[in-house]
Amino acid sequence: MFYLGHDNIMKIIIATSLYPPEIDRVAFYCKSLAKHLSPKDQVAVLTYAGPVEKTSDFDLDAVNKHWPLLFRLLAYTYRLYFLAKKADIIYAQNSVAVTLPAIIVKSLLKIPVVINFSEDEAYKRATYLGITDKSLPEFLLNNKLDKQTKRIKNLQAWILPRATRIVAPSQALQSLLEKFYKVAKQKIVVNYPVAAAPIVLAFDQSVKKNQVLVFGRDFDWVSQETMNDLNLIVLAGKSLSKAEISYLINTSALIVYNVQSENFDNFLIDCVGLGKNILAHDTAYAREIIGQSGFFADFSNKQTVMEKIYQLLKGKVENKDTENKFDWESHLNKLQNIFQASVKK
Amino acid sequence: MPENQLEKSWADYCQNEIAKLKPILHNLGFSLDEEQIHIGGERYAFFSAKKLVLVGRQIKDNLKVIVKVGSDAKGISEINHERNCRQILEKVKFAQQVFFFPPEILFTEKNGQTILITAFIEQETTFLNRPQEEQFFLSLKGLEVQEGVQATTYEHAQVIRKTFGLWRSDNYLRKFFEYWTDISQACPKQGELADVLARADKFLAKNVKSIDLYADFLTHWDFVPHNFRVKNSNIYLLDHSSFRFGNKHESWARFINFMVLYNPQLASNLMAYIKLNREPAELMSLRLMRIFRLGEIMQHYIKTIPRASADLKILNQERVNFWAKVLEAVLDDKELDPKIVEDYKKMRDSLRTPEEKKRQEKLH
Repeated sequence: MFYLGHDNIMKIIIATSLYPPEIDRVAFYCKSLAKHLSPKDQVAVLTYAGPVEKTSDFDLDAVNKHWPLLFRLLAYTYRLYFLAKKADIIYAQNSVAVTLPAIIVKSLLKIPVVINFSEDEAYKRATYLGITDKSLPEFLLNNKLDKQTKRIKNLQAWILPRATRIVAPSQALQSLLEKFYKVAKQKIVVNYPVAAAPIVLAFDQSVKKNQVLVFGRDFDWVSQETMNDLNLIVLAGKSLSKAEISYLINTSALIVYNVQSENFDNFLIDCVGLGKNILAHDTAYAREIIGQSGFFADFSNKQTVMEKIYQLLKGKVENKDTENKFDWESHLNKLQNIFQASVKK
Repeated sequence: MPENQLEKSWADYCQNEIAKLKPILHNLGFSLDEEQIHIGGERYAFFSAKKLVLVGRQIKDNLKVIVKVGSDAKGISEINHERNCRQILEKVKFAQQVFFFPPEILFTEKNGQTILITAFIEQETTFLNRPQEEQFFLSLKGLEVQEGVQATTYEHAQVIRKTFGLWRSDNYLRKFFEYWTDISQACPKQGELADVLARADKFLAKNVKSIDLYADFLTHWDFVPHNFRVKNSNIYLLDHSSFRFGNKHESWARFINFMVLYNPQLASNLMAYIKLNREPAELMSLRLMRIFRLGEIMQHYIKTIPRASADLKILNQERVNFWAKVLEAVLDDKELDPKIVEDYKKMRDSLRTPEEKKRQEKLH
């Protein structure tokens, strides 16, 4: 029933709950993705929005977000249904307000639905509202949540296994999807996100000698921000703007990544994208993202970590080049393969 | 009303109010400082409600506190509204990792006075005395967190909207027309001023779509350093009632306009940030909001001219002229000549009273 259009042009619907002027990463991703895909494929974006800036590059359809929840959900499903009639595939960004209509349309039209699990909506909500400060795996194990978060989590658990494919941002998250949301392994495909473009500032962003940026929680040196001649900047518990984080990454001679478990923060990906020297706590996620270019240590041994930091700062160990997996080219190639495989299924 | 009479009646009101308040506060376990900088200087020309902001101490532990007291319907209503706004923002956990609130110590109504006491937030230094980069990132953090809250997608939007209101392009245009009318009536002989305001009104009307494109965001329309304090990199909001759902660049506009005078480098860095990292449409929206807010500040000073005495009257007229030049520069899409700022500052400082200069010292 489904086919590729003339000259292998694929008709893709990007279904999202967020689109600029929203400033969320998902919003920017959808706009950039549509721009990247549109020269070759036929792209339509469906979103919830107020006024949006239209572009000639692709179709943009918006459901009025001022309507009450039930109305806008119905309207979104209705719009998606009619768009899907003329499309090959729905690429839905993980948000219940989008994935639920997408799964309904899938069951009606048998159109493949690929869900981009770039973030866990329940976890995002819970961290934003301060309901949890736990890591994602700990959060997923926790059932003592408020009603709304629990509802989102349960809906995700119902929706995700019903998708044609799920795109996970890392292998580490692939296993979490399998374990907690009971998605069949063969349905999950890893496609690494695109590293954020560096933020441009009006002042100098050159590397400051001996500035070390520490990312992560439960770091027992937090109170000792200045150690000997080191300028340790510890991000734990600090709420900074994206621009400041980007500035600190740019100006630091070394990034120390002390995170015990995988996350959606994309911090590590952005650091790799910028070619930074990274010393990371040795986890499967860190090894997967940093690859050959990183240095690893057991962070329970402070002595070893400090020695490694000084060694790296003195330039005794050179940063090794690895293939950058986090650019648009790699992301689009993989995504197009996923789309092709889903349509042919 | 004769010029000095208003100043005198303000001084009498402050004196009587403080005399009445002292025994009440003492019974509640608080005292007032001898020196009260927040009621001095130019304050007399700007008050419209019987409301005072005073500095005091909690007797048991000498903790520095801020005492707000209202004693007429408007003053009481302002304090109640401010408290209500604060409670709502705390309840909806708005930007709780970025914005903090000074702890409330006491709220009571005694002898027709409404009293609100909050902790005084001691900051390491004033905002403007911080390094340039720190000022930039602090302001960015405060401004960007507001952009994260939209009128429809945010869970508690209904509650916020009910309390703080929602503005779209028609509200902005209507309000700007009001500013224009007030300023033109107060300065009928200033042809240049009328021309620049007419240009501004036309420009806003022509670009109305850009205003609505970025509408429905929570925005603090008076986000300037004297309305927040910074301690350990945390921003403590002092003004909780100046939020509304509106164009998201309104808070940016107010802040940048303010910095044109107080830290032009920061204003320029923030403008560059938007220009280099956001869509061109955002730059236009910010420009429109800057125009709107400039109309507001000019009207604010125009209104006080009849109430002000000698030097302040001249100063406020000069303030209107200065902001009109800023408005002209924004309309021309040009940076303001730094000499205009320097000349204005010199003139302003020569017209300010020593009391007002002291009040300004740690304000920003």
